[in-house]
Amino acid sequence: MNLFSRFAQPAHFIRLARWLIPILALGSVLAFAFGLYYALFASPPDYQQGEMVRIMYVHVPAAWIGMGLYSAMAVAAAVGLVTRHTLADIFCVATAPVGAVFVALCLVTGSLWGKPTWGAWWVWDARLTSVLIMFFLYCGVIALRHSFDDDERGGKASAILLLVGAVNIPIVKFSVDWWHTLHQPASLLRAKGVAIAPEMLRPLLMMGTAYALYAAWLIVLRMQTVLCARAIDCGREEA
Amino acid sequence: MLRVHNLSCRRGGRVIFRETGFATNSGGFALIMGANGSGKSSLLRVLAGLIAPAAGCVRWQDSDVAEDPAAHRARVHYIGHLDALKAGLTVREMLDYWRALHGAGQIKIEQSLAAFALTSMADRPIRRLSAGQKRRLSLTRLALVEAPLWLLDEPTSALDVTGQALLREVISGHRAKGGIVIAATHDDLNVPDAQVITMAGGGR
Amino acid sequence: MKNFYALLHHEIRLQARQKTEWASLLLFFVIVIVLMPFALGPEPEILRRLAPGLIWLAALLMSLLSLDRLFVQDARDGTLDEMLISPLALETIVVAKILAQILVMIAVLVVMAFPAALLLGMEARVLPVLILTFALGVPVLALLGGIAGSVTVALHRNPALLTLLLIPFYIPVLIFAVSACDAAAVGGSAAQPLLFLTALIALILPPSPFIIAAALRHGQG
Repeated sequence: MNLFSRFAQPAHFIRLARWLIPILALGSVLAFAFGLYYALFASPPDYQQGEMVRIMYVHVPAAWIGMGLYSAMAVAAAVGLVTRHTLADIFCVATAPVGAVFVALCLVTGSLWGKPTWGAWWVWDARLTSVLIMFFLYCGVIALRHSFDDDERGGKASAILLLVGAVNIPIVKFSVDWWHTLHQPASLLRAKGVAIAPEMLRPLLMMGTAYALYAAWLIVLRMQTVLCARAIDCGREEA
Repeated sequence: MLRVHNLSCRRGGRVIFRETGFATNSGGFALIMGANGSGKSSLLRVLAGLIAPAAGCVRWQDSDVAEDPAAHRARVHYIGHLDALKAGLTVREMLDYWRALHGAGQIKIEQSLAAFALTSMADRPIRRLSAGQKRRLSLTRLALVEAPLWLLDEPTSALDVTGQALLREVISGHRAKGGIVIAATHDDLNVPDAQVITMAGGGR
Repeated sequence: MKNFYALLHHEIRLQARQKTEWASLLLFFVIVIVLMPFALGPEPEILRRLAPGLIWLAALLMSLLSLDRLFVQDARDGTLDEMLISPLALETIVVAKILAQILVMIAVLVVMAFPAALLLGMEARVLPVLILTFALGVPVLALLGGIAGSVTVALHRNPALLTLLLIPFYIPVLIFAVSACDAAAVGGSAAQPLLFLTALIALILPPSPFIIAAALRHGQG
């Protein structure tokens, strides 16, 4: 708790962010360079889908990050409601648009992948629908948060919405197992072990790391911006 | 008695008022004065427990009201700017609702109607009442259920001379029984022994 | 408990006095239904097949329109302060309010289901299932609407935002309600989707009074 409070201090966070931003930026550039090389050149085509399978390397990590960021926001919302730390709200404010963009990327690349493999840009399948709902939830959180002038009340309202919306996370994750969907089931995180060839797994995990670092970079950068903007507002108020 | 220590209030990162303190004994009448935007309404809302203070505390008989919000709600009457009336109901139906909202307790529908000269309008729909009559009906809550602490935000707005006289009478009855009244108002309700609290606002 | 009945009685009376508001909602419902044949073409076979979905869609839109009166009106006329200051638990008051909304809405929809079914040529055997889906689905709609309404109450009036917040949560209700009716239309068993609807109520009912009460308390600034 003590350590947490220490890092939850905005001043400490700013100091931490100054270190983190260049590291995350460099890390994501390197990870993207390696990941894209392996994903686009140094991995074999699929025996069924051919070169088409390379969409996977941009599609699947986007889904992971989009879902992971929503879960992280839900946790931050719960922590924020209990401890009243402003940093939790700042995290949610900073993360929501980033997460929404990743989910949108997941939907767009999924649609591009769906046309050649399933023959349709969009099907009303449980996985696709639940991810679309997650995108709407992100939009709802962003819209709700921005409707409040008062950061404290806006933070509480959007935290409540985030927590209620968290019911969708298990639906997204398990939709492919619960209903027999067109979308293929999970290949990585499943009970019977990984079901993917190692030479495809490597670029996938690299791209996942690249996406995660990139998302973290954007979020820390945005959190720093939000903190500075609030400090300016406060200064204006005190002056 | 009611004691207010170093009370501060923030809304949306803006300081509404800071370090306000006063004490009012039972039977006392505190008049909150100040310019528009100096935080009179916010102070009353903090005292009512509708807003949490940013700092400081409110004490009732030496115990912090934040420790037992339910008990505090039972001892408070708060009359805000708005009349809290439903146009579709009749006067009596409105009082029935307030009775339900305030749970058990001594209920005196007829007396409270009489106290604000509304007996003849008991079955009239609220949408047919004039602004002053609506304000009187809204104030009827004070007489309906016993509560030692009254918080009144501009209680005399829309009231004519007769209405103000009725309110004064109800207030002096309440004070005679040891109740406390804290009011934010422009005219001073002609209370000679009022304790005046001046709000300075955010202190900029 | 006595207080709860008194509050419920008051809320139902309040709804009953808002005749013009309900009349315009009913008219809205009928107009949506009447517009369908123009949008989809008047072939009786298509309309018959789509009837439960169309009726539910109209009901959903109607409930979205009726929601802004749930807490926003109370906030605007000062009743919300009185609710917050009441010695009763805010949760009790909230439950009475939403229960009244649910009862009135179900009553209205049950009455409107008959002309709507007639206009779209829906089979008579689907009607009981449709009414059952209203009875199970409307509580979920109202509770979710209550949550969204309590979260946005400080914003006073923003129907578009309310819609954006609610639609993702309304989709499961629509899916299960319509699939129950579709199962009944082809003579199958509607039990499974009806059980799903019941499960939704079981999921949303226990936490929602507490969520709504907390949101209303925090909405005060």
